[in-house]
Amino acid sequence: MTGLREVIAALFGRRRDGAAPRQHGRATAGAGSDEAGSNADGPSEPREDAGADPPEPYDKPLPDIHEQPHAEPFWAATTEERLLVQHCRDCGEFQYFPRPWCHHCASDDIEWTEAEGVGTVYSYTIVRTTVSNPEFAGDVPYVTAYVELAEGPRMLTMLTGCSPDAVERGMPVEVRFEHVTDDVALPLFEPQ
Amino acid sequence: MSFDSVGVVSVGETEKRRPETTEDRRSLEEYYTEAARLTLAETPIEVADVDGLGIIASMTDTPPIYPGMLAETLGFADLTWTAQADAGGSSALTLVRQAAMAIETGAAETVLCLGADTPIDPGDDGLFPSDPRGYAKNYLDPFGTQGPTARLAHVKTVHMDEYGTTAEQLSNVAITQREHAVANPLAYFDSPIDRAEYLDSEFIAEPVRLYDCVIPVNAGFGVLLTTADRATESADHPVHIAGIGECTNPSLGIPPDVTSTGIAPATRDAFAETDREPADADFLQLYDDYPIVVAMQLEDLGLCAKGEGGDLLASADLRYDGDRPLNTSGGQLSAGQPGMAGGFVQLVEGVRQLQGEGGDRQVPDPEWGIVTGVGGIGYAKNLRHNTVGVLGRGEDA
Repeated sequence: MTGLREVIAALFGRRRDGAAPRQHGRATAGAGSDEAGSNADGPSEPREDAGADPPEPYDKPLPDIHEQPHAEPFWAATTEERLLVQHCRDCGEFQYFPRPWCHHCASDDIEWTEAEGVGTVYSYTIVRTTVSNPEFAGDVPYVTAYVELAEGPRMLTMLTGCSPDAVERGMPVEVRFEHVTDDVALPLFEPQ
Repeated sequence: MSFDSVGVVSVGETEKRRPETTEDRRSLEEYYTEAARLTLAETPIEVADVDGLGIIASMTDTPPIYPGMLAETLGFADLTWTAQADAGGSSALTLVRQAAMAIETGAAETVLCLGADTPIDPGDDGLFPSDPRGYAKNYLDPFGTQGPTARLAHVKTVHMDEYGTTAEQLSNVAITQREHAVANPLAYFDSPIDRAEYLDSEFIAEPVRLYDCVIPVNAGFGVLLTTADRATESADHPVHIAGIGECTNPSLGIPPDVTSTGIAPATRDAFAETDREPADADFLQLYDDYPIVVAMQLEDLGLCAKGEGGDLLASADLRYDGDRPLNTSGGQLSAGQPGMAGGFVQLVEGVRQLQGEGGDRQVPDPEWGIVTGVGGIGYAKNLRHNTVGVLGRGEDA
């Protein structure tokens, strides 16, 4: 799958400085774990020959689960298939993604709560050409969505388990956890 | 706020390049140098006269304390003011606002604002390097949402669904701006497109298409400001800054309204000290990272109701000689987006039009106009950085 630069060069053609478009290979930027047993394909279907060859390392971008100490509980919980959101005891709002304090009222009186794990699709896009994320080329077309959780916050995720053309704003979805490495599980969503 | 003690003397702009070989590339510093040369060239002001230097934070990786390194490399000495604006497409206007504040307060007298970037590197495959840290790295990229298009697409989905905005309406931005680029020798693109080509162009992140996307280029720009008196001595057509307003990280509710931007509060701020109304602007240089962003800005500038930006794009004559001249140099879509210096495309064109330097796309006798800059797409939010500038002919100050 070509990246945007190649698409532009090929489709737009002639430009003021006269040079012809050129083809060049696209290196896969790896960011991943080499843990044995990791799910190389991320959110796509499991390989039928999964038992035959050693699994490929997960080469898609991974969150740095230790970058922010305040966020470590979130990532630990996803490996246990629990979705946590922060709740502010001062103003009562929930927030996602995890922050160091309540970003609505700047209070430090925030606690982790376990979300129901359900919501509705608030917005979505169907990625049909990978630009800066060639690691996802094999998943194209795929759907990313902001899911409005029952608790209120909207979280960005990938929608799986349905055709991209079947996605609609407002459709009810529920969380599922993709264990992409031994340390990381990504909260994805699928139709309820 | 307005800047009655400040005058814009001149602007400079390099050609736009997408180098395919390392021999064909120019360095970031060479673009800064050329931008400085072009900006100072037609004026009596020299490097030694410049006592304030502002630059932008580029996509091209630079070391810490870069503004001073650049000053030292190029020979801008004895500076009483320096700054580096880091607000994406909003950087140019926010930088000029800060420069104008420096002159207005007496912190500096003659300030050169430069923006350059080299996003196209023949030795590199990616357009956007991975973030070293932050919420995008941890909560966006792992889900296949890297880069602005995949993020902005969510805003477009909502706007189209809630207001019925159509691709046909938005196509007018791409088509007209291509016409303007054809008339601009410094624009990257030099051939027109029609509606069929726009509508046939492939989806990148649906509903955003290829022809909704900017063309990344390497380039450099400059804007020279000084005191109003010195500007009158130094330029035939000095430009007056009637106001620049900013809004960063607009709140827009819990949960936030993603179809509105911080352009509305920035507009109120920019127009606070002038009797002018946005609807009377002689031109609109609106940062065009995507046509839907132009539509939302028309709404948030107050030129139409929320949700009617698409209708306005379809009904107005957006050409340089029409009733609502839009992005007369071709904008980010057709003149090019030089990385984080993109905001200078709109700003430099706004000054140029007021100085009568618009060439084959000169707006007929403009007295004043609007320039905007936007940058960064928030998490579950719309644009993070929003700036609005009101520029007028110096004689009207």
